[in-house]
Amino acid sequence: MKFEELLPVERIALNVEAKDWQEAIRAVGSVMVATGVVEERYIDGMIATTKELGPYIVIAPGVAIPHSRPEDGVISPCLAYARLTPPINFGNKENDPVHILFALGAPDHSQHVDALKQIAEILSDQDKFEQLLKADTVEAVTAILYNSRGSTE
Amino acid sequence: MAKRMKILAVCGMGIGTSMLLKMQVDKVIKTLGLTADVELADISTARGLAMNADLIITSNELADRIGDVKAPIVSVSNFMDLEGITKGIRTALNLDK
Repeated sequence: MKFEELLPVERIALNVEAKDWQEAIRAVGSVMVATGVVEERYIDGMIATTKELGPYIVIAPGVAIPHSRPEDGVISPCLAYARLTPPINFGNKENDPVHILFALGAPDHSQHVDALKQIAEILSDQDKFEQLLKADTVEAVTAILYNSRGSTE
Repeated sequence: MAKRMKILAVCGMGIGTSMLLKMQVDKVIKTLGLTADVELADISTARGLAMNADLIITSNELADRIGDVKAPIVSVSNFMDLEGITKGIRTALNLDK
């Protein structure tokens, strides 16, 4: 599946204001629900797993990948993007505050692998990541996200 | 060539975060010249699977929850920090001696 299909422009949310991490996950989750790729209960699933397991979804400084289990209401493989302004603390000492959310919905263990590779590639490229942090229009975000390719090994 | 190792990448659900970890660990073991199978596990099955693993890698937020296992645990806070992950794996496997 192409990255553009997993994360179409309709699932890119900018200037998301949230008062805490739960509201931030709700905001990105509602974008997923609105585009029909997850059920409403998936949002609660993402919040519940983060509560249960701690803020381990903050995978790098400034970036979190909220997600829940396939059986929590994933309809089709998907990603949603949110840029939090201002950034929000998730309780992860090393990586807070969080600027960017890549919410993930995976119906199984394989279909989202390429998308994750691409995210990893962008995040490990310091220049691209800096650009992404500053990107405040959908055009600027897609220019960065859609023009990267997952590493081909 | 050293024997083929088994590395367990552990996250909350065994879907997203552990997959990212596996990608990074695959890169690291390649540069270290090691051969290893990197498998995914969620936190609830990790302890059982850990019995047969040579190394466990997980988020530092989850490391404490794995509990008492004999394999060394490498905990990662920044998944994009390949240098840090490399260092952690080298230390855990005593490669610097």
